[in-house]
Amino acid sequence: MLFNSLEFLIFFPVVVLAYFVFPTKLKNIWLLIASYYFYMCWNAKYVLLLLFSTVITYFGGVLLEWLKHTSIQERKKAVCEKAVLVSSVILNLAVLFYFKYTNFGLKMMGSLLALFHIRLQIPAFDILLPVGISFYTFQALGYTIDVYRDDIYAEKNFLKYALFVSFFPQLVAGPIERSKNLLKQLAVPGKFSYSSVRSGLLLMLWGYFLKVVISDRCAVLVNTVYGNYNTYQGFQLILASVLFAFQIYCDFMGYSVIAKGAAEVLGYKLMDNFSRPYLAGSIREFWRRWHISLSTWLRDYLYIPLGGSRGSRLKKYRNLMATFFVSGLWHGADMTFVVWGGIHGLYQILEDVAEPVVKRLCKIFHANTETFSWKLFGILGNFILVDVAWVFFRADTVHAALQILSRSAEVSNIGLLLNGGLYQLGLNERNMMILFVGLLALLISGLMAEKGINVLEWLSEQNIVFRYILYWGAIVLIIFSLDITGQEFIYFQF
Amino acid sequence: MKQIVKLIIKCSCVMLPLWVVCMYIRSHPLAFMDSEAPYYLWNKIKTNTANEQSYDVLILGDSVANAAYMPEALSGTTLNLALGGTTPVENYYTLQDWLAHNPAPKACYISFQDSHLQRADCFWVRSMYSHRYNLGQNLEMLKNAMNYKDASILTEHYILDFISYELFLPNKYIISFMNAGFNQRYQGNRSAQQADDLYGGRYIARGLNEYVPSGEIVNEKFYVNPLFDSYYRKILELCRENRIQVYIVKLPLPANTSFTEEYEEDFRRYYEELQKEYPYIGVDWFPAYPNQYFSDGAHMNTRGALSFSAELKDMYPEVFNNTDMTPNQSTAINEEIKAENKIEWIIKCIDERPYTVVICDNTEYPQGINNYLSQSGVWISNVLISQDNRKELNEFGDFYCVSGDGSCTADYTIFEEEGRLMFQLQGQDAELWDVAENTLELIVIDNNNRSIVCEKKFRYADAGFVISN
Repeated sequence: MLFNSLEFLIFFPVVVLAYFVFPTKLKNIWLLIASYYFYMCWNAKYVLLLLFSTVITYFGGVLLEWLKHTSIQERKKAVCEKAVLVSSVILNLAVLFYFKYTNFGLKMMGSLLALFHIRLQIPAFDILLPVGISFYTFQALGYTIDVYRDDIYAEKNFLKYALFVSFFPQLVAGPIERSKNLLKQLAVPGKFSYSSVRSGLLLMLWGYFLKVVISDRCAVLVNTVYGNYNTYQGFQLILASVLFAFQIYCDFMGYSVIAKGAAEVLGYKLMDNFSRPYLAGSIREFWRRWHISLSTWLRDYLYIPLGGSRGSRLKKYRNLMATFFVSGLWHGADMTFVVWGGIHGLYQILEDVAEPVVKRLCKIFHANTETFSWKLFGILGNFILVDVAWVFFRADTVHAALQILSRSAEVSNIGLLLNGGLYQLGLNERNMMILFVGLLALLISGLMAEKGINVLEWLSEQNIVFRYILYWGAIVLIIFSLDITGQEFIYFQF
Repeated sequence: MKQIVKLIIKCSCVMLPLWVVCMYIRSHPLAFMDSEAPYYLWNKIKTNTANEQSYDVLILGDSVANAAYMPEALSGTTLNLALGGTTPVENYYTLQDWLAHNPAPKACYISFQDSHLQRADCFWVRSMYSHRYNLGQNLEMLKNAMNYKDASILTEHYILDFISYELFLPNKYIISFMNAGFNQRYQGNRSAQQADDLYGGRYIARGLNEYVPSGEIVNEKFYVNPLFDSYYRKILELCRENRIQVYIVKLPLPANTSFTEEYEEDFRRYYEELQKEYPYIGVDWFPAYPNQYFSDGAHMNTRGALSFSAELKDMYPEVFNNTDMTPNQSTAINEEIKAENKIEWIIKCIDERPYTVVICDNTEYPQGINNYLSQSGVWISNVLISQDNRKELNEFGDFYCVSGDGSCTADYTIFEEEGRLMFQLQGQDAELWDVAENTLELIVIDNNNRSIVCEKKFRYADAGFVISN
């Protein structure tokens, strides 16, 4: 069930209404039923995988908790705890690997053997990737690791834990919630609150705006150009690549915002998944703002356990690269994602190496790094770097990505911006105008948030006429974007 | 509670643009709807209101039926209610609507192309989209589709689609809404409906486009999907209840179409079984027609429809026995004559109708126009010109007069005035008949309305007479 489907627009009010009508005892059970139904709408039998992951991590947590309080020898206890943790991780990852990486692994093996002139005809397995498997597996694993680390107590109530893993607003595309946040909130079912329902609905409206008005519109142009990249060059490819950056941002942030809004309507607070990433002045900062739930997960459960930035520079860089390769692989079983992750790892290493040099140069030339122009330069430079990496993320193959990059450099067709050629890329003048308005709204809201203004609060303080003009404007744009929408959220595939 | 009410009111206010759009979609369908929707809506109005004029023959079926049966050529009391893309499912409700508001006709002709006895490919995008049928009928169709597990109606998201259409939600209409611009399609759609009035419901493949086949088409199997079979029987049952004579007609297909023995056997078996249950129904299988009678591989063009209707009329004189021409019939025939670009088809158009064609031939065609027309199977029985001033007129060419029904040929005068040829209908002003060199000129007169329908010029070429105006 897509958030941008009529099905969800019927499902959600029904769930909310019943949730607030039901007595407290039944609220979580109702949400659990609703969440499982939500998942089963996509593929009913794959709900077993969700249940499997839930059961494994639940019992893993219970076992770890029992081990902590049992009176066995500390060394034995530590070994047992580790064994439980490793078993839970392996079982979960095994499912993830089977469904997501089997064919990729076989393909890689075939390519590797081909290097030694060994030709193997390995047929691809007909495996359908369960939607959201990467998200709920990581969320469940995060819980197990938290229990192992003694950061939280294991949840005894299976239904509550099952709801934590399957909570429908964030089940299939995140944010990857932490047990410390969501599980705690689920202990006290939400009550009806006018302000949280209101702000939740406004967040959902904003999310739909991002997805339907901006992302889906960008997708039309990006799909046109990337689908036939050999016939385009220069500014056409650059424009498509830039718009892809906004497509994926508004697609994923749109989903996250709708998820956050939906949870807020029910009385739960989900974490922010994005914090205006394209206003970041460095790659490191970008990753503090982009897909925050995944990047913090990888930091806490992979990068730091690997050693983090402790030890030698070489070790730090090794850990960085490993983390980003995993991040790339998490996104998809393809070399394009691995390369994308690798590029971001390299960026971070280069940034780390260059940082003292830049600082020294600034000192020598008395460059003021607090000026607007310096920040703007940083933001633009960073955006270009991020966008180059997005080319690998979006392209079908690494070869295609390299072709796109090389053809992008053939900048001789600037005339297309002036002679109407811009409207030959899938979006007509009207759609371009709507896209521009959408991006402008995104920029303004981003700058306001960057200044520390809570846009929702600011909005509620405005004159009713102004507010309704904005609401109606957004709804009109959404309605008039329904002819090009209906596309799945990109992050569903991860 | 107060807060919940406040929230509901606010949500409704915020969603105002959505309500406005839905209301607009509901109240102004002709302003933006595309394709066949205006015809569907015409059909809805026609069947859901008591018509002043009585009809004794109804045509039911899909697009091939709509294209083939030409009410203006059949009789003034024939109405073509066939709708493109529909199946027996929708047609049952069309008949039901008609009978609820109008007296039962004497006869009903039913024709479907085979594909519409097997799957409903336009149920959602035409019937539901245009709201041709009411909520109760739509629900009944879905219920029966569920009983028969009909996959062509029960699409992946059929419940959501049903809700979307019934509530006029923009997700189903926004594309045509956007393409139409504000109210841009209204005039076009209104004209389409007026044309439907004129042509008695026939709207598909009007015109002279000719089918160019790319190879032979072999029909191998005939079967009727269980849901459609049940509705077929419901139609027949409804006809039985209302004492309507039913004729099921397998319409002519282009000459490049053939049928296997297995197909013929299946077809015969199916209809024999149907006739056992409903002995009063007639089943006719028409042989193929020339490819040029079709606008594509299934739909007859105007010439095909004219030929088929004439043949049908000859076959069932007791059904099409109303020979009075209605004003609409005359206008429709006039329009067809105006659009026609071949002499032989103009003559066919007026056949057995109160029309007169006056011909002035000053071409070099050796055998004479009568001979030329006979090659196309058109026999002019009434070739004459008996003007007192014939000698004076000879310099302009040879004159002929053809009467459609042999009723009226002499209420006009042709004369020469100051070296120019003049044509005058009795009681009207004389008009200049501008006869050009080496052309065959004709004037078509509508005898009923005592008016000139059109004046056409042809020149002789290798392929025959070619229109030159």
